[in-house]
Amino acid sequence: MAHRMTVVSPMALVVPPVDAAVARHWPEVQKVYLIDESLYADLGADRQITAVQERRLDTLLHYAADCGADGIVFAGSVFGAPVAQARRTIGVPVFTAYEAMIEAAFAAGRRIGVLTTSPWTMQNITADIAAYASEHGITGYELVKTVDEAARPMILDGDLVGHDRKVAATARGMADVDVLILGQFSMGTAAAEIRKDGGRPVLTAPETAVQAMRRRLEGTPS
Amino acid sequence: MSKRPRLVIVSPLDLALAAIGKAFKEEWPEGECVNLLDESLYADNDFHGETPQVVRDRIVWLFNYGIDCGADALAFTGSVFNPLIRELRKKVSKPVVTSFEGMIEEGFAAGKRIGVLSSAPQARDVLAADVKTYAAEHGIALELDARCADGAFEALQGRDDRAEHDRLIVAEAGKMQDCDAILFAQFSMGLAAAQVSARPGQVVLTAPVTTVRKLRRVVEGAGAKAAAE
Repeated sequence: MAHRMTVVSPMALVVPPVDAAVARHWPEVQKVYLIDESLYADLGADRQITAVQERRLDTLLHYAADCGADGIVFAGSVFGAPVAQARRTIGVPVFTAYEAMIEAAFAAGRRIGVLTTSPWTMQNITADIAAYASEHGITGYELVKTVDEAARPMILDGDLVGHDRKVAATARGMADVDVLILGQFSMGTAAAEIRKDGGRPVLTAPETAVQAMRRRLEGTPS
Repeated sequence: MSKRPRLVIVSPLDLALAAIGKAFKEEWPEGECVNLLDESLYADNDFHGETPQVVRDRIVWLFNYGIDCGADALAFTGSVFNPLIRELRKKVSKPVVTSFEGMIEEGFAAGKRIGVLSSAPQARDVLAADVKTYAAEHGIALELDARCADGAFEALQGRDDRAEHDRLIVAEAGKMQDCDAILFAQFSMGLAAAQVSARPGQVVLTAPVTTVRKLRRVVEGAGAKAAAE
C-alpha cells in the first residue's frame, strides 16, 4: 500500500509547490493536507509563538498521526522549534519545514545563498541553519542573504506567475554561491524559473522534504 | 462585540478555500475567516456505503478543535457529508452551518419554485436532496427543477476550459426561467453564476456567499440575543 504523507501547514499557499514536488519526486505517495490557518492568525505582532499555539500544534500533529500518516511534513517557517518539541512523542517521522533542505545545502557546500520573501522567514531559517550547524559540528560556513519583500504581496494576491518571475530576477544577483536555498515553502514553484538560468543548484523546502521523507519511509536512495 | 468574530471553515478539499475567502471579502470583511482543511476525511471515506466511524469521529474532533481555536461559528464545506453534519453538529457547543443551508434559505425566501443547477450529477443530487429535506421540514409545497449542465464538468476538469464550462452553465440557466431561485451546486461555479442574467424577480445563488451570509446571521443573531438577555 502507498505510504501516506501528511502535510501540516498554516496556509494553503503551500499546496501548489508541494503538489509539484510530489509529482516530480514521489508520485506514488498518498499526500494528505491538513491546514489550520489559525496558527498564523494568532501570531502576535512580534511573531512570537504563544503557549496556546504550541499546544494547538502539538494536538494537530498527534491528530495527523492518529489519522494514519506514515510521515508528517510541517510546512511553515515560524514553528521549527515547537514542531521539534512535539515530535518527540509522535510515533512516525515528523520533519520541520527546513531541515531536509538545510541538510542538502550543507552537502552541497559551505557558501550558501538564502533567498526569502519575508524578513521573519529569514530570521527563522538563519536560526534553523545555525542550530543544524552547531548540532553537526559544522563551522566556517557563510550565508549570502537576500530578502525580496516585494514578491510576497504578489503571491498573497494570487499572482503566482508574477511572484515566481520576481523571485527569479532577484536570484540572478545570487550566482556566486555553492548552493541557493529558497526560504518559503510557497517559493517552491519559483525554483523552475530560477533553474532556467543555470549555474549553482537551487534547493526548495518542498522538494527536499518530499525526497527526504521518501528516503526515510522507503529506506532507499531517491 | 469589540473583537472580530472568528469563523472556522472546515473543508475536506482545498477547492473551496479561495471561493470562501473571496466571499468573506465581498460579504463580510469584518468576519475573520480561518480555514481548517483535512483531506484525510475524503481519503478514508467510503463513498458507496456508510460513513466510517473514524471519519465521523474526525469531523467532531475538527469542530471541537475549531471551537478551541476561538470559533464563534463554523461551516463545513463538503456537501457530500451534509446529512451527517446536521447530525454531528448537535454534539458541539457552537453553531455549525452546512454548505447549502444558507443558499436554500435564501432560495425559499424568493419563492417555492427552486432550480438546482450543477455541472455533475452527484452534486446535483446532494443539493436536490437537501432542498427536499428543507421543504419537508418547513411544510413548503416545493416545485423542484434539478438539472445538470451536460459537459461542463468535463470541460473544466478534463480540458481546463473555463470559458466553455461557464458558457454551458449560463446556457442551461437560461432554460430555467420558471424558477424563483437558481441554486448552484458547486463551489467552482461562482464565476459562471455572475454571468447569468436572471429574469426580474429571480435570484441566482451560490454556496460560498450564501454560507458567509448565513454565518453572519447566526453570529449577529446570537450577539443580539445575548445583548437582549
